Amino acid sequence: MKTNPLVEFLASYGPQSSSNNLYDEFVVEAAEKASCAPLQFNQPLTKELVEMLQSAAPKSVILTGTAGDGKTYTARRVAEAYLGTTKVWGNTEKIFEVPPGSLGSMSQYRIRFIKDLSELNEAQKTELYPEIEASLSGQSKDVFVICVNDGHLLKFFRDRAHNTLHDKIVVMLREDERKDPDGHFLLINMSRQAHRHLIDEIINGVVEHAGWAECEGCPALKDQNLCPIRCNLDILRRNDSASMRARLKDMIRMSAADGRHLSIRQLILLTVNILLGDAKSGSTLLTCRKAQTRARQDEYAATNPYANAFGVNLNERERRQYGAFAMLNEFHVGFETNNHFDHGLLWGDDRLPTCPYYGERIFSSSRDSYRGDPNRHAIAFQHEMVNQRRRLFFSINPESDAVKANLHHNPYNLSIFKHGSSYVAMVDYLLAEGNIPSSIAKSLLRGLNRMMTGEMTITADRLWLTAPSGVYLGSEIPLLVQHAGRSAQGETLIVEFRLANHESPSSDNGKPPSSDNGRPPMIRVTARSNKESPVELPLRPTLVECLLRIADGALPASFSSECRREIVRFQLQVASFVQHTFDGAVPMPKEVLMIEGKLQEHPIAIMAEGDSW
Amino acid sequence: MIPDAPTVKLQAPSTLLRSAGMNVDMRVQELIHGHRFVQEQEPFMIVLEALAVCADLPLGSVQPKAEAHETFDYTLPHRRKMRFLLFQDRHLEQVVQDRTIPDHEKWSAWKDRVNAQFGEGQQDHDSGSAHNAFAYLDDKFSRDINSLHQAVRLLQSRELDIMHNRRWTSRFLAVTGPDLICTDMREARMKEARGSWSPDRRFFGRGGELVYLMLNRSSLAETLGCQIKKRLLNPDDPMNRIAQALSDPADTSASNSPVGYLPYLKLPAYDRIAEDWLKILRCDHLPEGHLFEPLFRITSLNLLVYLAERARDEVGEADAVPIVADLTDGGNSQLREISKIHLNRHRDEANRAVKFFVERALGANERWKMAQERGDPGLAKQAICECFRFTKDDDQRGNASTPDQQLKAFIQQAVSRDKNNIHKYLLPLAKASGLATSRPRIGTWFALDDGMLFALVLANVDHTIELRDFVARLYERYRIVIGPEEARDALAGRIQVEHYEANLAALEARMTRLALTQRLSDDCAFVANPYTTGN
Repeated sequence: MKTNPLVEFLASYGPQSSSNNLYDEFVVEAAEKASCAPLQFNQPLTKELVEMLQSAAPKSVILTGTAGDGKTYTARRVAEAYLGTTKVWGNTEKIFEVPPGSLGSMSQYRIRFIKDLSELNEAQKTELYPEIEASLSGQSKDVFVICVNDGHLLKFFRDRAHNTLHDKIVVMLREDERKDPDGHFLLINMSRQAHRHLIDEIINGVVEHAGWAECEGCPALKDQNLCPIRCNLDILRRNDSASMRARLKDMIRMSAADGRHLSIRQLILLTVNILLGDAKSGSTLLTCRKAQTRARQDEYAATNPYANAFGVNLNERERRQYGAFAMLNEFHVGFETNNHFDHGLLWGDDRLPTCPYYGERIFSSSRDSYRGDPNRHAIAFQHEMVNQRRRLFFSINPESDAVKANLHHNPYNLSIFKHGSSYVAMVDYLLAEGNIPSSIAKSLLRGLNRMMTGEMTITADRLWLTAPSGVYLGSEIPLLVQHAGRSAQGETLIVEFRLANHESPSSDNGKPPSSDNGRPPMIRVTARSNKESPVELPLRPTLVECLLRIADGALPASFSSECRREIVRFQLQVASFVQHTFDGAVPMPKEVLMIEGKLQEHPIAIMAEGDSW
Repeated sequence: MIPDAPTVKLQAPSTLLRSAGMNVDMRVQELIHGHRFVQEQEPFMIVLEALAVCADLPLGSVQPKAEAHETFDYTLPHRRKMRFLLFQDRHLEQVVQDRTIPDHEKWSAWKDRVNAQFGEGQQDHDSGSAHNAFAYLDDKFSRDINSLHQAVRLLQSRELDIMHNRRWTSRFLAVTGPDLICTDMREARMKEARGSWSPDRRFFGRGGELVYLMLNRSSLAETLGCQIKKRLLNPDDPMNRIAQALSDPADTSASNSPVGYLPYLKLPAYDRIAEDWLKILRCDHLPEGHLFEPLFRITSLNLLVYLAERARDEVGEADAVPIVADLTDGGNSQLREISKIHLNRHRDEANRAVKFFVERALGANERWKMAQERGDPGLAKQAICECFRFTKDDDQRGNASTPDQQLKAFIQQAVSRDKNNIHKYLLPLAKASGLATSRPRIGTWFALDDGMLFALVLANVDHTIELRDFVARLYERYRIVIGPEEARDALAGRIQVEHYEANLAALEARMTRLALTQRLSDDCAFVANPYTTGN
């Protein structure tokens, strides 16, 4: 038997209590021990920062973000690339200094890398503080590259009562501004990277690792029962629209837009668990030896990557501990279904995708016993059904013609985001063309109109912006504030769908924005006369799901209370926007009635037309 | 009294507590925190009552003086016809729906019926006007029954607390203009005065008058007066104009009421509540109709803190009892338990305040001292009567009782009375305003609901601040304890940090669902008030 050291090395990134590799400091060491190259991810940021440091006027950089976002990793890569040599920055060195004009450095300025500002003790911080402050306010030419999470960064300035810098950084953090308005430093929030590109990079880094060549000559590769690690590797390597990777990218992007950010550390952990997860009791991750045993004994059910993605090889406590599994489990994949999928799984359906290892092979026995005696085998069968539904979720292309022809075939029906593919399509359209498909736009407007007026209307050509009355424990009869339509409809208020693009709000020259910063797109309401200070409603995936379900018919009450609040807030903002925009000539509120599904407005008769308030 | 009195204590106006209508059986709580708070007056009615006073006498128009308590009457308009149309008329809906009546006859058909119904209510009373009581609507609505129906329907939708089916003279509208103010009224049933209205103290128990006096004695009275007029008593508000249209301009009947008694001239609590009101009213991106709810919630919180501070001063302690608020919805049972203990401490403290107050007042009374020296029950009885105007229940304090027995019995009376008893008032106050929640077999504990969180943000955040600063501010201002830092300070170090950390996390999760926080990383979250320009 042969063992590949890469497997052991990757396992150290996985969900185990001894996973020291979750910390950059230990990666280098572990890689050496396993005689493997460390995981490498292509990161444009490193290049950008090195160039900036090599320029005539280098600036200080603050790398901030959630733990595990790769702050230290990036700083180390920058230091290495800058000096053109590896292993310059010792693992335990908290501050790494490049004196001006030192070997390899082209800069005439002193550059200091701080691995983690919060690791310094108070005395060290106080000692460094004047120099950092001078650098960040442009009073010295010293350059710092500081890794620190934002809370600690603010505390660092607050404790030293430097309000100007503190307040400036607060604004930059909130607005996602990268450049200090005075041009003295950069503030890079590592949590705001395009998530779907990251997962791609990370999966590539794992599945294309040179170390897989070591498997060459292993008998398990030739066996008709293929090594499950290699099965899973093949599944992860696929990168078409019907692949697991494509679905993962969508899920991660949707979660990011819903405000659930996954750090690089979590994404690596997830990838490793999909690849190596082992649900056999007493085991968490596969080793080469275990993998060969599973193959020999035909126990592929234990190594199912579609189940591993949700952490089924872990116990409940562990699953909750790791953000990646908590996040993916919120999609409830496998616990939602419809007749098309369940009937197909139970009685066979050629249209459903197959899998040589994780389909029939692990499913047929429990299905056959269930068919024989449903009462006795229901529980075990249901459990297996969940895994099969998960496999289908990860292997059907939601954009294929067959799916488009029949919405029941859409894999998102197997999750709580039944309209997940509409969300993804909406964002992709916005990224590519700057607008969204009109069928989705209409459904969203209909859902919004239904929520705002409380009527099951079919009106979807424009928004009926109403204001809730706010009467304490009263009957809620909303009044119409104003309509908002598309630019061509001639309304005084204009409604449009846009990407949230905080990086360049000024470069609004008709060009579709192309960056995907992980934030949800927006419905934006502006006045025709004045495009200033628009009202925006972030279209988080959960809200989109809620609106589209309401547009379709109904939805479970549990879904709506949070979304309801967001809509109310949007309504209030629009109401006050109208009041401020039309100052002096605010249109009177009107009653809204529904006749045969269509909304109608009725002026309040007692107040003559043209009156304002 | 209290050695380092925080402020001047004003004498109650001589007539006020004695007048028959006031129904004051003793003066204890009245002198501690004012006259008075009753359980039936729900927190939202307190703000309605305060606004009713404001509508007649804007804040700042009566100057508080150090020499004497304010003595003024204010006017409570009846708005009887409008309220009749909204809450009593049975015919409008019927006539509008009735297909057997031709459209052009509907107006007069309805008028006949409504005049008859309105007339029944007040036989022998002002009969002249009852004959065609609603004639004033003819012009205003051009005899168009549909537009009248629309106006009535719209105004009916402004009724507060619709699930409580109160009598029609105690149904209230949300206030966004002066003509929408409906106050609690009683209709006489006796023959001679049948149908006449007088103010009822059941739901409008004077809590709002005390709030008015607090605001009026704060340093912000005039500024606040302007803001209230601009945002809540604006005659041009659309709903107010509908109310005007439904009101008879000739119907000016009203009742007068003297204002209640608030003992202290100046207290930090008055400025605190005024600041909170001002902050909420200045949320200029929040439409007027939405100001009321946060306003009454923050008012309740301020009253709770005021009462705790008054108790603290009477008892002579350094700090008021903190409000340990559970944000985990009872999920953390230990936190819930601590929170419950603190709610009970607030109630016990109210009783202790009564005891300290009574003992101190008698200790300074010459007659009482003499009674004690001589062991004279008669003298003791006189002393108690003199100090607290307490005359009732002579059986329990028979002449045979010793002064100490009488004292004990009197304190017992004071802490178990029905009206203006803070021990009994705190639970309904806290529960009705979203400060506390209760569950069978567990009891009641401090837990902030979404509405209260929203009010706290409106009143305390104008520029975006860090979550930890927000929590620190809530402690500094109201002694609300949420996170570990505050718990350590308030509970003198004996805390289990993890409960309060869980509490803080729960607060953030709740606020995120309310879209009031923005989290940047695992270590930093901001609280924003989306409804101010300051943001």
